[in-house]
Amino acid sequence: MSDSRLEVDDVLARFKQSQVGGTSNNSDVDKNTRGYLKIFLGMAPGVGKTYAMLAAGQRMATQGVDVVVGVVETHGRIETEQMLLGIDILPRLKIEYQGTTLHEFDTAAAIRRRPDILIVDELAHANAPGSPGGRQKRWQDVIECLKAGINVYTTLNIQHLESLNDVVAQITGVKVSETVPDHVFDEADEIELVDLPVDALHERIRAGKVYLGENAVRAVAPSDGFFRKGNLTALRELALRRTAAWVGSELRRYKRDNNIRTIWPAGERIIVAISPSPMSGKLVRAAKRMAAGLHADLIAAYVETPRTTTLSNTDRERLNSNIRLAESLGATTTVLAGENAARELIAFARTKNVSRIVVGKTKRPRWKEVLFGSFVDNLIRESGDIDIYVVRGDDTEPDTQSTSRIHTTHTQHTQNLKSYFLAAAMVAVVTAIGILAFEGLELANIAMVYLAAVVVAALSLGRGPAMFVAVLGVAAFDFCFVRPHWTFAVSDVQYLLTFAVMLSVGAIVGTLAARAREQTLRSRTRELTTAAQFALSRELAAARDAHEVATVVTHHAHDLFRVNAIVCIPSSPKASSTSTSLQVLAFAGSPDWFDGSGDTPHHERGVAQWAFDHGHPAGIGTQKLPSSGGRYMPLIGTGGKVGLLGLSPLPAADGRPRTFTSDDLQVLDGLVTQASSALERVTLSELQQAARLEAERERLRSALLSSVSHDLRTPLASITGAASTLQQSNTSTDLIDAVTRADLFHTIIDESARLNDIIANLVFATRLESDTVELRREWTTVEEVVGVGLVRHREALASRPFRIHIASNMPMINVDNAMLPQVIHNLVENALRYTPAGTPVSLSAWASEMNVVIKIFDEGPGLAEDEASKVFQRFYRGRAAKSNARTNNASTGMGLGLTICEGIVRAHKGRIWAEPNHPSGVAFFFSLPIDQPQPLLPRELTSSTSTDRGAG
Amino acid sequence: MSDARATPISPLPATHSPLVLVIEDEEPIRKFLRATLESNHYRVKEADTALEGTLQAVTTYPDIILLDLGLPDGDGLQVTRSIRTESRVPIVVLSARGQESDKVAALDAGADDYLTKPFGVGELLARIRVALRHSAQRTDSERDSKPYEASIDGRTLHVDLVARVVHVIGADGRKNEIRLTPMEFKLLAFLVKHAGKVLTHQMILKEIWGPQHIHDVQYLRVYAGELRKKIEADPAQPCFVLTEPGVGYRLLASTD
Repeated sequence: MSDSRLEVDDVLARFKQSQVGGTSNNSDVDKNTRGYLKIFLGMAPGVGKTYAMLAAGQRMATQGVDVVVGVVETHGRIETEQMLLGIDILPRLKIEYQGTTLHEFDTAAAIRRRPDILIVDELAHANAPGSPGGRQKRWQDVIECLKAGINVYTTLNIQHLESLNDVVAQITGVKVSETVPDHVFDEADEIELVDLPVDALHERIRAGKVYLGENAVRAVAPSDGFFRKGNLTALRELALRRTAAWVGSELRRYKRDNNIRTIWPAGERIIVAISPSPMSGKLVRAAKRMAAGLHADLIAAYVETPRTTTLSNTDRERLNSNIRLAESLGATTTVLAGENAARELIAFARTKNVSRIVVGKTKRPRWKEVLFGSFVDNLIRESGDIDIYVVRGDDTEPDTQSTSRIHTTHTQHTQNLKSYFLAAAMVAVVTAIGILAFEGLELANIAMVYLAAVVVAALSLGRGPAMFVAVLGVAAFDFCFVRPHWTFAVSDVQYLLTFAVMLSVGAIVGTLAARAREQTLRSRTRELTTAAQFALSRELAAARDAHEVATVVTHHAHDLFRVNAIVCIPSSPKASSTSTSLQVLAFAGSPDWFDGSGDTPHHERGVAQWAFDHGHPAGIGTQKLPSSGGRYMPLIGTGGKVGLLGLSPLPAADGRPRTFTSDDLQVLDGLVTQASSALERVTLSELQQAARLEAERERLRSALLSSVSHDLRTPLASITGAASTLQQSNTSTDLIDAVTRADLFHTIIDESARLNDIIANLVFATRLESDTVELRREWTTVEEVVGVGLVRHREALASRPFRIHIASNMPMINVDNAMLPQVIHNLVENALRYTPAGTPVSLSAWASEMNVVIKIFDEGPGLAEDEASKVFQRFYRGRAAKSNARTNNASTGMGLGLTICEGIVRAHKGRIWAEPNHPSGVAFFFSLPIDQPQPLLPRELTSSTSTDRGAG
Repeated sequence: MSDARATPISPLPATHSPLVLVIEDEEPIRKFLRATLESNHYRVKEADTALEGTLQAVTTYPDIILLDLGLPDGDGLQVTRSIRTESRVPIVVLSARGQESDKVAALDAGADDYLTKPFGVGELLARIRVALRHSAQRTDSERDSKPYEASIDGRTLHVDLVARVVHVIGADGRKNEIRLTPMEFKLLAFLVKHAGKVLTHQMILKEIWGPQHIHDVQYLRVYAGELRKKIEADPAQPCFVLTEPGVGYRLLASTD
């Protein structure tokens, strides 16, 4: 009881500690909100892991901790089933698969239920295909639960650990397909080894406590079963060792967390050199074991040399899978490029302060090594103070890919065949030239011509054909030119030296030239990639909004990788924290694969959503849902997730699905980085823009309010003043003479009219403000509009020179008869108000080919130079107007009139502008498009009165 | 009978003066209307709701009704229709600017004219006079035989419908005969028959070009323009043929 008490305290303490967080280590930062993972590790089935786990659960339950069983396989074992009593069991999720119903752990239900401790058996279990969230393995379910902050108890057999996978296969002869990545194990908060002596396990099996009935007998078959003694002992040793290693790293973590640094040397680093070879998998696992034993970081490096440009597709795929394996084992991966693989690797190792390099034993024949040098030898020669570990490759591993390799390289072969033909032709031509043109020349000179052919072949056809030319050339030289002619026999032995020199010089020159050619080719592709990237960054820099960025990115992806590409952004802008749905912003190629039209399943969107929510790539070539139709990469800027890039490869020409090569992935990484920062930049600037617009709108609103209250009060003050004066004069004795009295009445009426005008303008302003101005268009004449626009100014215009000229034969205009006259009213009002009394005002109208133009001009003081463009801004009043406003009784108006003119004209798709009038004053113009076709008119009118109209 | 034209200069005995029914919910406006009308020798009755207005309209036999379109308990349009089922009494609608479609609807429902708020006294009295005159003429054929004559700014338009002669007397006193096309004359004749009263586009189009053309406003615009060119001093600032924006046309009321 006391030790279980201790356990509870321990759990709670760890729990609290993890919530306080605050350590500098990365993995600990992750743990801030993570649940606590405890793994019950066993060497084999039947040692009692599940029982131990349930017993622990029961102990916690009696302490009042909320313990729930997510999934437990009792295999019908009675003791185990008894341990389930009193603990809640979550119902399993039913998944239909190929006609049978499979029962899987329901992650979502567990997260909803949110227990303190969740019990999930068999961490290595593979989920039924089509499990929710695309989680193929149960350990992924467990990670989800941990992320949701739930503490998990789980069980694991040692043979399911990824890095031990091939060792176990070697020991037991059974290849386990269900594996758990090492990092899951390494990051567990607690490992409890459930150990049982081998004999005791055999005893249990025999007693039928592990397998029931028939199976029990078969399982213990002494010699060749999985449970044979040798196997179990080895597995037990592995389990003990791995636990010890974990405890060691736990201790190290403890020391690090407590700043006990001095005793520990700087972290070791190990590089494992990987290649497309099928052995590399084994190599990586071996390196991982070594790294784990040394508590060292593992770096998997692949060196790209000129040779790799000729890799077959199968090799490329194998290389990619090796790189992915290394990643899944917790290694950082890197791709180096250089001429000499060994030298590059050593140089890289030195920059990373690496002390050990693990390489595989080569299977190349000895003569090749002597002739071309061996990578391992080179490596050892260059290594200096770095230790080189050479690990045995796995010869027994069948080369399952060989057939497909032949298939895929078929075209390459025909290509090669052609080159060799050309090479042979070259030799023939050189020989012919030698015979015809150089008869009697020194043999040395003829040899030179052959060497020249070797160089040409190397530069144009590659290394192989060059060698071919060299060999063939020597033969032809011997046959045709060396005495005796027309035989391969040689009369003078010293010619053998000539042949040897010719051959070796040919080989060396050919190799050098071919390498130069390959390098040129490679640098050309590099250059293309660089150019593409440069073009991308330039286009991204020019993109002004998210849509443009997305379009640029999708098109580049489409061109670079031959894929259908989409860019999504979260539908609501503040999406980084909570889960929001994605919307497609732009696509290149076809978006069908993503939106699920056609025969592609709809779950692509779900995969994309997962990738975005978790900030991890998903889909093709990733750990998550690799069988999806696309690869999805979240675009993460400095401030959080800004979007998502999705790529779906177009099928290759031969109809086979295409994947991404390591080259592609490198370029893709660059693309994602650039896209992320560009998208973030425009998103931020869009938000800023919106905020600025909102502020501007707010400013206008308050300006309007203050303007309204001011401009409405001014006429009201005049009215009130005049009316109260009149009222007083009525009651008292006659203080005011008749003229003044008439004047006051006039003021009241005029000012009322002005109030009415202001209100009319306000109504227009509101109508124009709401973006949906509906025009009630009607066919009418310019005269009609002008007449209505002038009607309320009739009196004022009568008091000064006013001229109208409307051209004859004007077309009809299709306008809103309530709105358009207001433009003329306001423009004339403007002219009347801001020019001294008696200043001439004129109106003229004419038609051009496309437009009707109306001009209203005065001969007043005019606008200042810079004012012409400002007058249509809201509340802008001319400087002259401002200075006049106080001296002149003519009052100020709202500065709204011209803005309304602008709004009305724009709503009619016309244009309004101001120009200085000559010799003085200002001219306002507005033009309206002439709508075609013109309306039908009665026949008699169109025929007979056209002359009348012309005359009028 | 011509006494009913009630010129404000010649006071009439109270019993013979026309009765104006004011249906308006705003008290200040009722007050102003009563003051103005009584000082111009009209008798006034008031109603402040649609219901009361309709009742009074059929029970008190007013000579003319001033009807506000925005009544609290029902719209003026409905009141117009109700009154029209009972009586031919002239109705002048009072409405605010911007309600052009309401005005047209009221005119279509049988109202005789409208006044846009705010309006001056002169305008109000002119409308009432015109409406009363037309209601009086409705009973005889006098309007066809009597020539139309109206003057403004020193120019006079003279139309004799019987003789089919149109003259304009200019400011200089010269009399010019105006030649009109048959359609122009037909339009002018229709306006003359309803001189001083608003005519909606549809009314004019239906009368001149027939019911199939009631939406061809452009016909009317062009003809009105042609007519103005011939009779107005400045067609862009017409004095005789007036535009009622969004509603229709009105010929200047004849001066007697």
